[in-house]
Amino acid sequence: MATVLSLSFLCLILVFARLSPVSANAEGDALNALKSNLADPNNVLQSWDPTLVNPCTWLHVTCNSDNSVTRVDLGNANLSGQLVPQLGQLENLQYLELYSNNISGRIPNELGNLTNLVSLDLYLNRLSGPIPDTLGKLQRLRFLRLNNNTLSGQIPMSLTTINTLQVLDLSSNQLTGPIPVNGSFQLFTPIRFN
Amino acid sequence: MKRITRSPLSIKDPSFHTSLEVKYEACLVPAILSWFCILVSFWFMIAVVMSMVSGFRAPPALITIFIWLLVVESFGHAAQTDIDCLRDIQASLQDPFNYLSSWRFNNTTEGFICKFAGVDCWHPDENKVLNIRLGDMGLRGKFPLGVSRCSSLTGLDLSGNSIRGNIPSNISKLIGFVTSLDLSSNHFSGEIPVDLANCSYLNILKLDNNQLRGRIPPQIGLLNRIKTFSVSRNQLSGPVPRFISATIPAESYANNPGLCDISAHLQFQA
Repeated sequence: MATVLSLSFLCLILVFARLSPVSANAEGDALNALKSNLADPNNVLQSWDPTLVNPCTWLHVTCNSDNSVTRVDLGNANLSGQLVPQLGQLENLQYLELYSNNISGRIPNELGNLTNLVSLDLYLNRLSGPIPDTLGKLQRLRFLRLNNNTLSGQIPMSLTTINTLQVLDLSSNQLTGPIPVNGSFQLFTPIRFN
Repeated sequence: MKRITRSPLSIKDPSFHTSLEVKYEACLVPAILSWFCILVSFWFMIAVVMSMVSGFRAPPALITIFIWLLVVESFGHAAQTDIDCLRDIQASLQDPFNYLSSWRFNNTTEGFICKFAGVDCWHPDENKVLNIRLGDMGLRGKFPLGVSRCSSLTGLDLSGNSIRGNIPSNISKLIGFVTSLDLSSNHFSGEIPVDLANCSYLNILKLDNNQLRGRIPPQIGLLNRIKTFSVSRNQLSGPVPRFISATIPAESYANNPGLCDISAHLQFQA
């Protein structure tokens, strides 16, 4: 009986130990999930080693002084495959640069959790599906460039609440419906939407 | 802009299939270079097809050049007009303090104009101008008409210079999509053109501290996105416009001896 109890106690400790990983490692896991979902013929993700304590030494990844990821720069990297919802766990991410690749699939709703995001560049890919209305939560966003994909559906009204938007490019997609003209969208003209 | 999709080539297969689908969307300027590229690429396509028919391996170089030409075409058009736009602006303005010294056009890589002083691009590696900010640079000359070639321009700031002459009477044909236009603190003269009322996306219109005279065109009040409108320190006269979706404070009209707000029985003396 005592053996069973102590064994189960040990199991509980192990379970809890696994449930609370070092937060920086969770960011490495999130980026590794992205790597696993992408085809990388140019080996730009070769340095992405998930056994390291944090992803801050990985190429194309930039961290702040707390070893938390602030930038992911993978533009023009010949990547294909799909994005992953785990990207939403990079809570200090400011720049997500995935433009000019061959990435397909949808934009994950979880990107709306990146409340520190300043630049979201997914342009020149093969993304499809709608623009998630959760992107309206990105209240610090300055650059939103989703042009040259095959995104469909309507432009979410929630985007008009982002008052920091400076550059918005949704052109060359398959978006339908009305173009919002209220809120921050008073600054935007048809050249950003065709 | 053109988009290229192609399926992978397997040259080792003696009966290999090449499928190249090129979608052309509206092109702006049919430059001689583009027609040349189209002709040469058709020639290469025929060469590839013929090599396919006669059964030997098409040299990879041939196909590479073909693809490259199509890619070059796809970036050729809008990019070239924006480069010409900035070249024209530099040529038409005098720059005694050399603020535009970074505007060099000899090494033309993709996105090189994005590093020019005062130039904001839409995307960092594409020559497509978003904003031009040339405030307080001591520039002289007249309103740079070449700005019309920056077809995606949304912001133009020429404030704090010594630019003289009229504001172009066809300004909405030159910069029709502009949301912010700041011509303040220059030496602009003549009247405020009615055509400014056709720049329907204007949020900010600053014309203050110039030598503009005559009446403010009442149609300017129809600009429904206006947030900031300033004509103070000019020589304007007549009534102020009634804006349909903004309230313009009195100081925006100050220092125009002949300007009056009939509804408030105010005169905007110096």
